[in-house]
Amino acid sequence: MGNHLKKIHQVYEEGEIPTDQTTIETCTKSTIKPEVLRKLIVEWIIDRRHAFNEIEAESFRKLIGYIDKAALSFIPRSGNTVRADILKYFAGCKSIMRESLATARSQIHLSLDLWTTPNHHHFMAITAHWTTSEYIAESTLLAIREVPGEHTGENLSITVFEVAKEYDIGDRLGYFMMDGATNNDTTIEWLDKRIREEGGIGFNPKERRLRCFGHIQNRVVRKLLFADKAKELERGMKEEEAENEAAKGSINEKEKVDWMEIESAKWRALGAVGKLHNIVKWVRLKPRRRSAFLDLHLVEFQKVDAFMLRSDNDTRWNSTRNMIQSALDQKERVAVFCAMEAGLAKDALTEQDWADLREIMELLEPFHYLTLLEENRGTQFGSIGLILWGMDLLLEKLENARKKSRNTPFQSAVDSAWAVLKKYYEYTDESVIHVAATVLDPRMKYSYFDRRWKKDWIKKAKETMIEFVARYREDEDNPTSTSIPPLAKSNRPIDIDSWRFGSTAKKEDELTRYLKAPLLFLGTPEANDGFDLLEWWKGNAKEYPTLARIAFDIFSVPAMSVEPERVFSG
Amino acid sequence: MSSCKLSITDARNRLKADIVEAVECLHWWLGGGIVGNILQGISMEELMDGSNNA
Repeated sequence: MGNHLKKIHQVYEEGEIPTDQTTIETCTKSTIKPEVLRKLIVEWIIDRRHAFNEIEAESFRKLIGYIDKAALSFIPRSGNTVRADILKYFAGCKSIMRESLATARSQIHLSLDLWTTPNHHHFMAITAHWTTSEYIAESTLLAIREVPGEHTGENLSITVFEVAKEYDIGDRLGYFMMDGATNNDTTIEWLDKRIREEGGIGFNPKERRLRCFGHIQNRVVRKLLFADKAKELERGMKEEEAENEAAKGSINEKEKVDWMEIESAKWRALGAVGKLHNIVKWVRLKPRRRSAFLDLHLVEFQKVDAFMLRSDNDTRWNSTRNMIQSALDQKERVAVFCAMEAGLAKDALTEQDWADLREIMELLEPFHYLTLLEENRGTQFGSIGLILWGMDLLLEKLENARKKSRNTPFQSAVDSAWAVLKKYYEYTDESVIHVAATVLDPRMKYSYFDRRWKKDWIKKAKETMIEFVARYREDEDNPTSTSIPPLAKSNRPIDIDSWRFGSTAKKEDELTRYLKAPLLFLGTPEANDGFDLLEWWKGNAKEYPTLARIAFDIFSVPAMSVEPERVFSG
Repeated sequence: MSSCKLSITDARNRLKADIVEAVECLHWWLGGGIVGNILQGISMEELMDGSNNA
């Protein structure tokens, strides 16, 4: 069979040198290096996430053969070879990644994200965050593992521990960014336990466990939008599921309509946003309705070009904001359309509903603004420092909103949103990192707290900070790793440094000196936005070596964990 | 924990977990950043050697 293929189709196994004279000639003339070609194929498959058997397609082979006949003989015959190449390539890249992580200037922080595929497989994505040798905050995906069995912290910690060992970062782990689920707490506790069991130093799980600001905001906004009624929506069949069931024939058309009616009644009960949800769903469902909406032609509408209303989804609150905005932008069109369509009679928005929608938009504005800032990963806004002042800002906005919404329909929504945010705010007490990230921003130091916090809170924050710095100092005085070179003892006959600069023993400690130095003042919003904390600390590391070490550690921690959408982004 | 429903194709679902990890990590790494830069000048053979040393 093999010989037959070789004779008739000129097929060769990989690496096999063809015996046919003409082919050898083409080979020697060709400048193509087989290993480069194989690498490029892997990169092409990965880049566009092609199927591995793409290279088996006759049309593809014809194309390559036309460009270079010799090249064709180097293209793997089967998708399985491509698969094997990818695994080898990955193993090689993984060791490069391991070397990069070894040169980090900071601890290695992890964000852990779990999700479930539509066919009920559980996956965990582990992303690393650190400050590189070039003082840049870097993030990268380390692993995606299927989690067998229960999603308990004990189980999850096994996977995290394995991955940490594979990348040689088990003894340098820093902070963990995750959503608010309690099994995440136990994951970190178990991880610490496993590290200690194997002779490692371990860490304080409470201090290292951080809560993703994106998830926090999502929970708060859901309260703001639906008060405590959001749970109702999770019961029963969803519209999409009803559609699917109907398509499969397991429910008939009438049952489907009934399901849909139950579902929209639930939404309607939520008020203006729920009604708008129903309208948008209804309009978008059928091509006829979509074009009827867009073609609605009235003179007044010429001010705003018609566009399709955006739909909301339950994973991202921003989608709800976009939906409301898309309706507010073409209010007249929506109003007239609802009046025309009998199917929307129950959901037609009243003047009060429109006023409510505008009110909600106003409440969402600070959340929206912070989200835009957070998306700047690798900058001060994408890093941990944002969480404390961001939460303070949101709390104040919600407290004002509470006063305003007393005895209005919004009261319970605003109250429960405030309560959720307050709960998460209290969690920030458990990790010194939030205080440290504020103090080590040379534009704020303690001044931020002096302006915004109560006296007893400030006292506690200062104590925590001093204790935190002391821990780093202790580590320097008794180096446990080889990364910190011991200070060279001076053997000068005359201590000219004391002569010139005074006795070093009298010098105040680093933190005190840092705090006494004037605040950094940047005159413009642009300069503040573009301020690079890691760069500043790189420049000041000689003066404040210990504080700089802390800064490199904490300013590479992200404000949010990585959304699975991003891991799988095209 | 969040259970985001991802629109991974059925084909990918059938893939074994190790290849999912390889494809997704490489997709991230080749997209730029540290590993992407280093990889520009490395051949497949060198990469495979790297895996042997590890």
